[in-house]
Amino acid sequence: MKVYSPNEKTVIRLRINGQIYETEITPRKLLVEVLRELGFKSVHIGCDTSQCGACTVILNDRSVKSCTVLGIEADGSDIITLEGLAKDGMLHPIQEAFWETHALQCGYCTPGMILEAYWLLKEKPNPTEEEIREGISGNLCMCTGYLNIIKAIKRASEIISTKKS
Amino acid sequence: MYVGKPIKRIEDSKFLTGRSTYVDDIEFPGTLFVAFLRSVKPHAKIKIRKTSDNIFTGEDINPGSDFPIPVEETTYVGQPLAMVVARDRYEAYDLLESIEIEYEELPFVIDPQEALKNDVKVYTKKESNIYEYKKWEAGNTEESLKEADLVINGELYNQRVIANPLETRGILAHFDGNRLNVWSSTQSAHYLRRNLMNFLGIDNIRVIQPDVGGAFGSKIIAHPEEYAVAKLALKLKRPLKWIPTRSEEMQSAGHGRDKRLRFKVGVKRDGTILGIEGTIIADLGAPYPDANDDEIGNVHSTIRMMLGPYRIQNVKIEEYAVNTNKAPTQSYRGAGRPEATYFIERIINIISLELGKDEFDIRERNLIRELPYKNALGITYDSGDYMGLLNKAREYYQSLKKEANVDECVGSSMYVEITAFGPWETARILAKSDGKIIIITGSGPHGQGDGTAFAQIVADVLEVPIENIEVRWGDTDIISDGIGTWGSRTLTIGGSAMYKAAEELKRRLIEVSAKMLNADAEEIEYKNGIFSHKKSGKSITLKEVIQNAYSMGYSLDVTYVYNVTKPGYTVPYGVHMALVKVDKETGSVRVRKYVALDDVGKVVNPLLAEGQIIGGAVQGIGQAIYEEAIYSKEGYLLNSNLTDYGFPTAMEVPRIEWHYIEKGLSSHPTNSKGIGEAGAIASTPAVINAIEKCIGKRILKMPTKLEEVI
Ligand code: FES
Ligand code: FES
Repeated sequence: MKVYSPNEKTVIRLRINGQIYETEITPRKLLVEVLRELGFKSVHIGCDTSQCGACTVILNDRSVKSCTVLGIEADGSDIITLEGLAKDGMLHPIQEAFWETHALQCGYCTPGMILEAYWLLKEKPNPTEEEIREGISGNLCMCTGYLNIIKAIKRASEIISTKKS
Repeated sequence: MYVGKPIKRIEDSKFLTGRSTYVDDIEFPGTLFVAFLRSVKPHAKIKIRKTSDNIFTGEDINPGSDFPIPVEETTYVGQPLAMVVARDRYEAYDLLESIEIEYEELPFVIDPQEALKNDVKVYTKKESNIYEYKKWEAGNTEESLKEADLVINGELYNQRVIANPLETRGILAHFDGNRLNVWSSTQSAHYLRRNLMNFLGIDNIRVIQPDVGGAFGSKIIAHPEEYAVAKLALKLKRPLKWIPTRSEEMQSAGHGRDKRLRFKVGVKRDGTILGIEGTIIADLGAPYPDANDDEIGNVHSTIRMMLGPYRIQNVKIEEYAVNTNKAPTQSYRGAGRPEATYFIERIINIISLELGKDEFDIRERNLIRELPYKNALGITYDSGDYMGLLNKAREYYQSLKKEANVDECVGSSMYVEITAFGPWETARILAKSDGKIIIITGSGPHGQGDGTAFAQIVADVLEVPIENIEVRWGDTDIISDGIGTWGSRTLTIGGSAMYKAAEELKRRLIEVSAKMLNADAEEIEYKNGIFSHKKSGKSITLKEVIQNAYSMGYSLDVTYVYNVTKPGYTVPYGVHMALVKVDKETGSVRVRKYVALDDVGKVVNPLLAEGQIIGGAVQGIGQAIYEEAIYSKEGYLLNSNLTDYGFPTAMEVPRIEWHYIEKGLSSHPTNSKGIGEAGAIASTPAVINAIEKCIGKRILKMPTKLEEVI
């Protein structure tokens, strides 16, 4: 068993958006800070009580609030942030749909919201409105009133399923 | 034409791909992190012992004064008292723990009704807790109440709420040896620059407003921490960054509303309102000058707009704006007008319940018939068709009522609202020699999407594809000056400046093209990027003209200052309706459906306008059913985090339908009126009115608590 002492730095390895990163951190450092320091500034901080979801990332295929994970806990894990969602300069259908339906205003919740939607649509490719609402209930948005976000996610699910068929 | 179309936002790409830059995303080599020690006493004399060189106090920031950072006396819990500078935020918060502070507690007062008795001083160095006492009067209210068939008494409380933009405040300040550079999560770079100049006594300051994660009024003023960090950056000559935690943010910023009305209203049996008499008590919180200056204007808005869209000639309001030992109140979306609409529309509902008459009938009976109309307290309502809109709303109302189940009720509210304040706004437009057109606004959008609307306006004037236009703002170096984004003013005032600037650029281009075509300017016809000589039929392209303008020594860099003439605002209006479901067993309340009908003049972009209405309506619904900043008797904010402070999630929001008419155009070149705040203004009373009908007793305060509904 590895024992961490408070001021001693440890090297952790993370696979972020397909690339390997190594960084040295103290045990108390939160994953959200680690990701931001590595340059993934789309991971935002909106609160200090794990409520808002602005820090949501995909960690080992699950959506996780990165403000509630220690950097050292995430050692060896695979992470997707918003920076990694567009492929070859093409927006992901969720990004497309957010744009089309005006599902963002200040944009601060948007990265977390899109990643939560990404995870939700993996779990449930054709969610009902209720399932979408519930699915993003861990993500606060102070600007949009959510309705266009709900619309965007519905729309994204349609785009994705027509692409598949 | 782009204006009037639901054009998708041109700003979105960076937000969608994670390339946006908010203040905390900016870094300089050697940046130090700042954190503040905050008061845990509502009122006390303080003594701070510096245990390290990295601790700074009010003495370092504003010697001899208690604002922005107290030197001797703290006046609210959450007030910044001292600051530390450390390598990163972890170490900064460690260091905070080491500060030694002695409090000598002083008596304090939390309730504004107690505070106005002046028995206990909020701040010992101020004569009185009453910041302003004023009487507002028109007509003969006493007479009118005597003539009334019925006089209804009541008391309404529009509670304190917290703006809570998802991104908190934050600042990065860096003295580069020559001048102070400041990045801040603010609503206006230019206004912050002016504030910092006044405070620091220097004028070589550049302020940059990077991407801002919302504000809702909370980032208009310069906050104590902004002054302090700027001052310290000058002193230490190192880049300094400050980002508060959410709990700090909620304790110390974004508090708004918090007004009470005790009223008497005299009505005739038929529902005619004869007069209103009352007292308004507005809680300003602690005496921080910037916030108090901001909020006192909002108090005036509350009173002057309290007559709503009704022909009420007799009014007498006593105003007390009072300091208390709580966080200072500031503008919050609507900035005084939501309270106004809340009060009058609650009164309309109460009258309709007392008289057993339909609320639309009460409105119709009292509605202003002809515009323009100057209300009894001097506000001019400029244009529109109030009756037409009311009648149209009635249809939606009837169909909502049909949709309502037994445990559901429909409530409504009608609002008039002042928007698009002056005094002026700037726009700069320039064409590069390669043909690129860049537009820069002096306002400071932070989510509202005005950049897209500006591009629409300019693309129409210049008859070019919108893709040719690049929009910028938020840097005091790229445009001469500016006012800012608040008061639902940006699109209308900033947009009019933009419109005028584009016209001037077009005029210059025509002049250049005339020279090139050996013609007089009057002989040139411009259409879709082509200049043609009407006589000779010869033509040249916009790009050629732009290129040649440079060779001919013409400047294609235009700054336009759009000056707002009297009365200095324009007035939209509308009716909003809420279908609420009330569970009398559990006391839970939910808005199931919401319909808004607005007239905001010309709608430049319906997609974005609707976005504003929905966002605002949900905040107003939040105030009605979920939100309240709760202070304990001991002066502590009990719910200073997003877990304890109720806030609507996607689960709670209703379906919202938005309709608009364009009857009441403003006299500005855009013909538009503001919509940024309308949703938050109208929704709160619509929801409460619906609940009141369902539970059959008067609702005096918000949010509606489960136990009061049962
Ligand atoms: S920052 Fe709010 S939940 Fe992580
Ligand atoms: S868009 Fe501003 S918080 Fe969601």
